[in-house]
Amino acid sequence: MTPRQNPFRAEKLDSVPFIFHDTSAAELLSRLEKFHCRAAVIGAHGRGKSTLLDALAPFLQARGWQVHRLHLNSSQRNFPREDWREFRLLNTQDFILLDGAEQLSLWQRKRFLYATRRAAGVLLTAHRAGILPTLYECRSSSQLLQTLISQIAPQPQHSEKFSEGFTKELFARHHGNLRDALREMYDVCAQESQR
Amino acid sequence: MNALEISIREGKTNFTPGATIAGEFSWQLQKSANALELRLIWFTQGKGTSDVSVESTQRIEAPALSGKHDFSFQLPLAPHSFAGTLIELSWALELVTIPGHDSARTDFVLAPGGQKIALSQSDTGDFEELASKVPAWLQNKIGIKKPSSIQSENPFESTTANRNS
Repeated sequence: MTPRQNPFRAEKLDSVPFIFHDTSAAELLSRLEKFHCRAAVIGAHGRGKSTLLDALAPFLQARGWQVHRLHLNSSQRNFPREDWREFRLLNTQDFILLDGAEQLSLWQRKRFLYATRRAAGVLLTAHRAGILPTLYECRSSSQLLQTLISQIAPQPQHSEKFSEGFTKELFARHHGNLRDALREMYDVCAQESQR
Repeated sequence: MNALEISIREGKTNFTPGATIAGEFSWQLQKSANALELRLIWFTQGKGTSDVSVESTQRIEAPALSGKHDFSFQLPLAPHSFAGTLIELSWALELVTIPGHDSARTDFVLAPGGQKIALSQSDTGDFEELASKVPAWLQNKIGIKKPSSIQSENPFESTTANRNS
């Protein structure tokens, strides 16, 4: 199996849709309105927070908002100066989706919320609750991991590497981080194909 | 639906560095497009983040609803097509409508001897030997480190997607 044939290659994992197993997009959008379109999706690493933002973006666009997707991570812990300047130009047509709000310091968070106050909405992701009211907490389970694996690679069900027991062990080994577990499945598939 | 097609002369799919790739591309559009662009690209796929580079383009402004056009590109000397366990680099010609999402792609091999380089020892082989087969510019890009500094079993670990969730 070459990397481009591996079902767990990075580009394929990036396109895995969010699984609404205990809620729906409509329910979340309704809750978001109750929070005056300012809320947070929380959860630990690899639980699907970014994927949920990706899933909600088209619904927000369908409501006529211009969605702006912002990303912060450990190598980009603050917005560039130009972004801070552009926040002042936001209006009721703009909806901000911010991934990685926990990277901002307490002062920067306050500044961000103030700078984006004219936007129609702000939905952000964070590891812990507290920045904005919690819209949804992303959790993972070995069953969810099993579902994702089956969706990504539906064919080789016969392999022991795709069994429930293996998935449980994989889930535990990655402490519930679905992204890392799926990345390990890349190696599993590559090794299986070499047998 | 728009129909786009790329035909490489004589059906060739294997090329050597510096060779010329030529052929014809044709199109049938349902509605007019601003332009058609034929792109000579290489891209990577695998465990790490994908990388794409457009090396050359040929563009037709305001194309008719249907037509065909010859193309010719001199291929660069590198990077070579290769495939290992963790990463694969492929070359392709891609025809796209602008604006629009329609595209057609034809893959081909660019490597010495016209054969894709196989990094077959990636799991058990000597790391330095393996790394030496990867072009120097790509070693930096995908984060191959000296063996002494390898913390992980996976030399491509540093290329993980930068998602933050």
